[in-house]
Amino acid sequence: MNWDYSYQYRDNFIYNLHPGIVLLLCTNFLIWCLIFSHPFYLASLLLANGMLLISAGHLKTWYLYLKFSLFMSAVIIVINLFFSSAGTTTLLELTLWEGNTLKASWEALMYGLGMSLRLMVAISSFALFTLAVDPDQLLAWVGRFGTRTALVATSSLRIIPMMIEDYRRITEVQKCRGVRFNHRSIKKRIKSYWPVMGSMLLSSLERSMIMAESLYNRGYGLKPRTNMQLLRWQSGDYLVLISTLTGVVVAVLAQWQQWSSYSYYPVLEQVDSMEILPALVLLLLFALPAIINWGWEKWPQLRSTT
Amino acid sequence: MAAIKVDNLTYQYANSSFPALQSINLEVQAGEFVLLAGGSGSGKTSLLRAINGAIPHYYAGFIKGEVYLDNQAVSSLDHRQRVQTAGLLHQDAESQLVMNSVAAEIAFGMENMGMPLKIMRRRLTELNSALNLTRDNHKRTADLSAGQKQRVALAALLAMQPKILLLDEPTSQVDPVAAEEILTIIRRLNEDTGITVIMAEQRLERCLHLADRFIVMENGQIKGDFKNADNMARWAIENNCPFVPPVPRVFALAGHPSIPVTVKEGRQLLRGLRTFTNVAEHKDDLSVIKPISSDYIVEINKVSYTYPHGSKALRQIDFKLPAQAVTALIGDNGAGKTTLLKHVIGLIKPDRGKVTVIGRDTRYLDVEDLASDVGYLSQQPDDYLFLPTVREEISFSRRKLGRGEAETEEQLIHRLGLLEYLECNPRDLSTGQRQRVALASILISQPEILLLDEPTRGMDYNLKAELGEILKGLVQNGVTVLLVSHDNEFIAEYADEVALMAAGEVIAQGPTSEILSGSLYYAPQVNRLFNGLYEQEVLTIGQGVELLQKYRVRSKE
Repeated sequence: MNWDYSYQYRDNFIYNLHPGIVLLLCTNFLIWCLIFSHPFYLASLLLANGMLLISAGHLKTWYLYLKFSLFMSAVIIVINLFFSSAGTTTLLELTLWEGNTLKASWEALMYGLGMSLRLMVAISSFALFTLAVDPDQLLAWVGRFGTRTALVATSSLRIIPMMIEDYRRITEVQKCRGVRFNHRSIKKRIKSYWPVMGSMLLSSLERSMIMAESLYNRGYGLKPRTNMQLLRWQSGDYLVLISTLTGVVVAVLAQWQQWSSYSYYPVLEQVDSMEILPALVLLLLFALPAIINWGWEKWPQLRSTT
Repeated sequence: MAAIKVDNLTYQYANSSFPALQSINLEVQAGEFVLLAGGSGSGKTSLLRAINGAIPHYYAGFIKGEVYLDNQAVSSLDHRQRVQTAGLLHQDAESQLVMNSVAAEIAFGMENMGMPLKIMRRRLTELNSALNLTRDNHKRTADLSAGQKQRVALAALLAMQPKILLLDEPTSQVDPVAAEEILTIIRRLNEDTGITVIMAEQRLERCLHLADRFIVMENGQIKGDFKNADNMARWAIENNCPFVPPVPRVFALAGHPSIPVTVKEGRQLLRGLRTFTNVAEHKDDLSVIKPISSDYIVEINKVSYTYPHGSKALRQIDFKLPAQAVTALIGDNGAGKTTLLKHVIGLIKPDRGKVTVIGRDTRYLDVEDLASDVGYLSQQPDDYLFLPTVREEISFSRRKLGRGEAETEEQLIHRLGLLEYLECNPRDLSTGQRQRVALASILISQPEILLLDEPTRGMDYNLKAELGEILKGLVQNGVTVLLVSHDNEFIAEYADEVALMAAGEVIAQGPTSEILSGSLYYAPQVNRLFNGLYEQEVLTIGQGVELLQKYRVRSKE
């Protein structure tokens, strides 16, 4: 059973941060990756997010998430390469039949790469959220503002690894029923996953019915609700909060000055060195928890103060 | 004053065409331990839901009659009062857990009730000690074993301090050791705290001796209500009701005047019979188990396997599977039984060594290549079921495996008793019926080898007997069966050979009687009953009855 995809406490700085701070970091990465279009800025977000994941002890899992996003990235790049006609620098020209050609431009390729980078940041921020946010603490914290929403969020986090396990198990039994998942034809391959998806969906629905009854039997929905988890803000949380908010100010400035914007079409825009500097500052500010974690592991004094 | 009073209760689920409960009348006194026996779909779960108020507050439907808890109608209690009065524990521990860590799970109900922090912490500490969860407190619930999960779910329920504990087959999904632990805890709670317990259970051999009262349900009605187990056993035998554990069943079927409940009581009774040991001279008269074939259909040579996360599952294993026989793999959780099974179907390839299935080396074969010759039924039959009707589900396998005729399909449907459910959605069927659909979808390709992983989990006596007869029939038709099970009674009745596994090794392999007989842990109840009192190994209920009847005849002479 691969439970590496879900939260499991580890004794390091990232895991000892307040869930609200980790949630802020994840949301921050997600929002800015949607706003930025400059590949340098997107790369700095990916690097910072990756540093947090690696320092939290999840290099291997991050790699698996990226591997998953590579397939989707390849689809984005190929579609963009051959179906976008806005680029002017021809990279490749294919004659399909008389009078019909398929043109691939350098700009379209770079745009596809930029979009892939954006996707990787989004997926990495999701990875950070699922791996480093304790669902129970999140419920305790967010529950003050809206228990139902918080419970949906925490249940979802808990269900992801259960569904991964369901997928593994159901794929195995369907193979034993003669279902082949290694067809050369993509159409047949997609079709072969129907039994897996069907079983997973039905099992999830049945499970949700039992879970709902269990919630009812345990008094869910009664008011007022209390919390056993005591969440205290530590000095480390304030430090990361300040660095992240400073990063947000720098990001707003970069966006306002249009340093973080980039135009791929009709020709690739020249990169100014002034544009790169804020990206480096952002990398430093957003990756600060990873840097503190390095010191946290080295010096016990820092551990007790943060 | 009765703690629970059910007054002429009839209930029908909104989406059902027949009532789940019919004219139920029942009174349970405070502090009683009531055992609710009955097959799948007999109405046990619905009755528990009605007592805790989930019916009709959570489940819509037609209801007539009333349930009273401490003289107050459940329909008049608010949600908080209902939760505080009666807590219900489900059989599926996994699905009823909602939080990530053990501590948060236990605290969840208390938090919902708005309890102060001090009380919550105190109760958490007490429950950790009482249910032996202190070391697991910071673990993820997902990482726990089925038994641990059930203990956590029980702790979460007890944290709310209900006056009545309703347990819906709490041990059906766990191994025998964990089941024993859970039942001991429940018994202790009942004795020490006076909490009223109503426990629905199908495997009565584990818990018959724990209860003060026994209720048998069938088709949504109470068929029998008994103050002691021997009366229930006698009644059940007379009424052809399957809910009698092996020890009382042997005595009742043999027509013995006294019906013991436990092995200890049974042995005392047998010792008290002065002429009992005299029957030793008649040992050859007892039914003898058939000899096992010396042809082997699967050969596993020096196989080692380590999972990617590092746990060593198999260590230099040698194992031979005799053809046309039922072989059972037994052993603790983590002994490597399921891993061995997956090597036979080719789902796992050995790191070292060789697995030969019907003369073919699995290292060079895909699972799909073996699928038509080797059928595999996993622990969860639901994993097979995704189509809207039973017929389509069975036909799907036939199409995929490219084997099996339409004629075979019809025969199989008849043999597995699925004819009346052909147009039903498999997910609407009971546990046993679902398993039979999954089994049919495998048997349609007429495999030479059938692999079953914990096939009797969650099954009642009837369903187990049905499955056992199906397996016997398959073996007679030339099929080889390899099954993994913790159900010693089932193995004793239906397996020809047993392999005992521990820490990734086969510790012993041989005829069932040789491995199970006299075993401290794996011996079935019937064997424990006669062990040492009679020279030949007695394993099955049939052998036990035969022996007792012979003795009775001799006593009369």
